[in-house]
Amino acid sequence: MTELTYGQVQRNYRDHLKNASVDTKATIRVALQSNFTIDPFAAYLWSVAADEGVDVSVYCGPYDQYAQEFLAPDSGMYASKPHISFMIFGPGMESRAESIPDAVNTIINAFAINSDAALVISNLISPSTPFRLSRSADKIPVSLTNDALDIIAQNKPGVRILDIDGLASFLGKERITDHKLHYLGKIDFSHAFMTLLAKKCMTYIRLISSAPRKVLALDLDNTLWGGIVGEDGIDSISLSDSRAGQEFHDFQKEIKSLQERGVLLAICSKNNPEDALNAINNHPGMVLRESDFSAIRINWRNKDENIREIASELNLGTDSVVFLDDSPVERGIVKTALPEVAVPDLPGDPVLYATFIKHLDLFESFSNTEEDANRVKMYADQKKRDSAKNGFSSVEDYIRSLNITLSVSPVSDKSFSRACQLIMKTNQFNLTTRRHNENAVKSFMSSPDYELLALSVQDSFGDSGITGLAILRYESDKCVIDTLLLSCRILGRRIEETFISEIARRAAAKASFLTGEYIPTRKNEQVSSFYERMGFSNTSSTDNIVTYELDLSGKLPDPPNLHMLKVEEHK
Amino acid sequence: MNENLVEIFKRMFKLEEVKADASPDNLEAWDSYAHIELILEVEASFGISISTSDAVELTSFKKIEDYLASHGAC
Repeated sequence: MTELTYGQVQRNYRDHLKNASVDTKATIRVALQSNFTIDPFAAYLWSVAADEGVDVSVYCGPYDQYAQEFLAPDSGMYASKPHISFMIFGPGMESRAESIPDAVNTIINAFAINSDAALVISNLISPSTPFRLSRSADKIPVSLTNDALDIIAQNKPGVRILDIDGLASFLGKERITDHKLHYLGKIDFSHAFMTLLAKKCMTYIRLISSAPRKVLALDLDNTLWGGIVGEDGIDSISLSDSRAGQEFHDFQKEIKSLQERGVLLAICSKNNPEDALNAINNHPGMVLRESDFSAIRINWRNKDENIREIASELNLGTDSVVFLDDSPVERGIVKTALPEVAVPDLPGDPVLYATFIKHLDLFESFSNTEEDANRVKMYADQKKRDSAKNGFSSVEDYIRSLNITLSVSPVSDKSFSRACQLIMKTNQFNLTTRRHNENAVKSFMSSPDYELLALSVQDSFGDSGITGLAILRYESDKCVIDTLLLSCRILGRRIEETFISEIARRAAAKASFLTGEYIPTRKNEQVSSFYERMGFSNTSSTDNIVTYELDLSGKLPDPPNLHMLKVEEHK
Repeated sequence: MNENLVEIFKRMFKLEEVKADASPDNLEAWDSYAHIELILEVEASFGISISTSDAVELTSFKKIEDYLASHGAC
């Protein structure tokens, strides 16, 4: 994966999507939500999963619409029926840090009502300030927010907080973004970080797709100590808490801490039992002793047979066993004979053993106990009752909470170039995708038959500037909407409904009918039924253009009453 | 035509032959995501760094070819 480039990862994924037949049921359906462009990350997730032989299909929520996606029961995410959803916060969230715990609480509650799936929410990446004399003032809310998120998730089984801040520190915060990807595509993570994050997400996917591992079966020679006890003797094996062989001692300490967390230990070794047990019980460097092991198989039989016996002695399936052995040959035999056993490749150098096992996440479980899993359901039921009682916060409530103010004003010399830019660049919410050039737009502005309206949007997070445009053309008793577009940054807030109702109000002053046109393109499917939804009637349809009309003497489209509207009339 | 660039275009957009006027308007696969990949690929292949403001403007085979020539990369 790491050897691949950004482009190769994306191309492989696109080829996969092209070749995957529609009715293929992916084993695991994953949904991704984020406050930035998460789509390219889907390719990384698919790629990492495919490397592990796991088939995933990935749904990506629209740009920065995570709140709507979680709150609306009919959102694209819920329609995709995910087994697991990820909410990933990108860098630069410091200014929003204070509001995040509440937002996350809302997300968790809404998700519990609408889905039985697992939910993983990232914490926030705290900014690194290596060259300041003291911590940035922003740092405090971010770390407080992250503490709050941990507490929120603790009380909500089925929900996990992904420590993306820790992951970013691990890679180096300098390296988590790629400024070119950010400025060209609002993709806030670098190739290296997306690779790492995909592996992390895969850990959670593994947890929901397979039973957690419960047993760690260990080889002895060159695994728990250096050397071969049967040949070198107990005094010559390499194992010590302070001298040569310390790496094996440290490795054993890590294994001991796994045992303390509930992992059962077993020995699976080709040895003379007397030699081996003598070392285990009497060598001063040993951390683990015979009594730490729940099952012991020290003999000269094949290891796959021994593992089968260990599992049955512990009343577990072989699919709950992890086997560690320094010998690639022994690992290969077990992998082939018992493919359901997890057989990670121990690093070649024993000094890496301790770090290796610390990062081995096979023993994690999504909910810590079965009781936790039941609590998920109890919790969800409770929430359903609560919501019936006090009308759970809806998408409408969310949009209202944003305090959106829309301003509609004629395109002026000042807004001219931004208007032209929107005409050239907007693809998705664009009813006609007519790419008028600057000269054409200038001539519209000076013509009495045209009205050009710029829409700007402000909300509690700031001012998005001019993010919508309409070009109206008056001909006899008709007003034709030549162009109607909104930037994708402001979608999902029902702003288009307020905008069209304002357009209708203006048109009614000069015309009897308002004509709307929809010209289908590869990217504007989402607006195909927009005019219908706004109460227009369809008057003609061809493959290339669908025409709608609204009688302006009748009922005009109602604004959704979710936004403040400021209007400036034509001079 | 710049052969290295032709190869990149063939690979990226799965083309048999590449025309100098190839652009997002006549290549369906050339969307905003593909554009980012293309810029990164050109940078890696030619060992150059393209500024973001230039990258936004490089919207045809010809424009990229001219850019490479004027920046001494081929």
